Amino acid sequence: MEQELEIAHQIQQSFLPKTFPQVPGIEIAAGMWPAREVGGDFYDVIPLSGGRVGMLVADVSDKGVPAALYMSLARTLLRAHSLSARPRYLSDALESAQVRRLMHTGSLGALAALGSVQLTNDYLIDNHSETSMFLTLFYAVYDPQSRLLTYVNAGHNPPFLLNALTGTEDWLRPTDMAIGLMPGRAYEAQERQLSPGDTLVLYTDGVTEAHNIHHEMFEEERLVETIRAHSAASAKELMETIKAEVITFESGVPQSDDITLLVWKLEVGS
Amino acid sequence: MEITVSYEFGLAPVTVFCLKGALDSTSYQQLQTQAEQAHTAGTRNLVLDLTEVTYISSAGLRALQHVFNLLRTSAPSESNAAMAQGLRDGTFKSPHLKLLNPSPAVLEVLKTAGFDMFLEIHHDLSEYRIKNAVATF
Repeated sequence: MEQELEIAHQIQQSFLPKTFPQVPGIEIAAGMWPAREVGGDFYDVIPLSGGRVGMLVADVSDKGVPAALYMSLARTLLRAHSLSARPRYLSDALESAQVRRLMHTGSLGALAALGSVQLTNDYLIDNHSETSMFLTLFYAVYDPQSRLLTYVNAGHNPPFLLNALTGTEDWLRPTDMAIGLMPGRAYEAQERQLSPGDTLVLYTDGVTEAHNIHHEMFEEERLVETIRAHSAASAKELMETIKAEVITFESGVPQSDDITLLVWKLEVGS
Repeated sequence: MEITVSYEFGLAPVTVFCLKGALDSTSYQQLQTQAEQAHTAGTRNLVLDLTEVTYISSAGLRALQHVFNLLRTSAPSESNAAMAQGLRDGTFKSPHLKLLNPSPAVLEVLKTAGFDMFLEIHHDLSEYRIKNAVATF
């Protein structure tokens, strides 16, 4: 069994990209550290048409083997729907006022990829709702031409956005419920104009709900303080610093949930 | 986690679970099992009194989804199509599962994942809170 779990661990890690598409002016770092051999968190960075790049972080509502199975299903559906032609979604979407509004900004390509969230929800509801499992997800498509970020936040912890030049800060809050819960959700996208110097940190609750021996939680506050204090660091350095801060905070309490981080930085001179 | 069960009668019979403690990976199965037992014994409507719940994790949310599915019936008003339309119109909430008095921290977790979109959440700290919640079924 132990050996099988080790193999499962290796297969799961192989789902997670270790190298990322080269996007001019962008630094990307991402990592997932499961609490057990396998976990329910995942991230992905997906090269899309027109030089766009999709980035996502997701958290399945369980741990261990059941979560890993659900994760591999959801991850595959999201990636396949993101990369394939989507005649059904697009024909539905073209009818919607949302697309008529967003088409003026040229985000149709982003919407096509984000349509994978709706399609994945439909599939999970139609085929797997008896498991009562679901996942929260933040999925964004970045267009390097316009620096426009088009995103869906399906019930996920809000990513934190900090600009190192202006000091402005914001949270990209949920736009709809978690996926796998309810039928027929449209998962309409939101847009955010990014600027040089922006750092966007995606994470799962394994970061903010990590706890120490006194049953205190890491919380958003410590995450934000860490990001502020290291806003000049590279994406990889920032990710490793946050991970190290969480481990230090737990100080010997075993990690109880999967930890996932994805850091996306627009270089200051980009 | 401590779960105290009581049976109330409004327009319909309603079972009330008073939960005490953290609803997380250490306790979610207890809630699911207790709800399954109540369902087998005839419970069709359930109020979860969360007044004394200190914390809810994603495992706790999964238990709520499990109980929601357990109590869902094959009535036309609970079909996938009817729920999807009702959610779009803002008119659908589970007719069988309702939540009472989540703390601000618990409410934040419920709202982030979107559970407030399909579960009624009552805020009532009066001594009549159970009676008032039961009367809404």
